[in-house]
Amino acid sequence: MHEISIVRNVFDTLQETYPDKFERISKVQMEAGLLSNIQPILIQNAFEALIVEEPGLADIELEVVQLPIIAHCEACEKDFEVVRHKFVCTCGTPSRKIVQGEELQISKVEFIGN
Amino acid sequence: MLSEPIEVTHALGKDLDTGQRNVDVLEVEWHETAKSRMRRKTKGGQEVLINRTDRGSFQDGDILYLSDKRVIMLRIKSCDCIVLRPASLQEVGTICFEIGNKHVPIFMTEQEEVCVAYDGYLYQMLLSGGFAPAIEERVLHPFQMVKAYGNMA
Ligand SMILES: [Zn+2]
Repeated sequence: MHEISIVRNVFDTLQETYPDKFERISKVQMEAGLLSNIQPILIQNAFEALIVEEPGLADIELEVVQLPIIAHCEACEKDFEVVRHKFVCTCGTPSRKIVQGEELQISKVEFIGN
Repeated sequence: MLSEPIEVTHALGKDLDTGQRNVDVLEVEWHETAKSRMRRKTKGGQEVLINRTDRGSFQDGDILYLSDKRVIMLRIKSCDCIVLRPASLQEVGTICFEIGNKHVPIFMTEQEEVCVAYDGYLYQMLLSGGFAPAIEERVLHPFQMVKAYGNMA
């Protein structure tokens, strides 16, 4: 499954980034935008499946935070939040110029003892 | 106030008599109800460590902790959902198939609505598919999840 490989990749990346501290990771926070095409539940379920295979990861908390969609309005040169799929600025100008919402990334890593 | 985190391994139940105890609330997202591990603060500031090994899900209103003086209750936060009101059973099937392909959990309400958490792609897909998706704020309850499709990754 696609999501399993994403979660595997996350932990492979963390292992490479923190070779000495990896064992002490207590929490990993990821950000998934509402336009990333990956819902948090899929990451969460994939992680639950992964810890069955790799019980060593079971003490780590994986938190997925959803990021709202933010677009840029050319008319007022401002960013606005796309609420309920309305890609229209408060000034009335429609915009599909996305500045946030497409990302899927590691946003925070916490370790035991610091 | 206790300073040590309270460890919770399972829910104590839903409709317990909590008497005069102080009710503190632990809020979680709908997609966090089946997490086996999670450290969170209640609204009252108490740290709670969820540590469950039974692969189950918490339900909205579950009592997590009960002492002489207080109760900690789990609440599922509402979120923007795509709500569909299919006209026929056949349409329910088509919708569930389309959404199920994306492996996203589907929820069926008592009003026979099909609910799924909002995301931009899914909404666009349903819109282009000729369905009439509405976006409404809802609580997605684990017990309303449709189990027939590949929900688990
Ligand atoms: Zn504008």
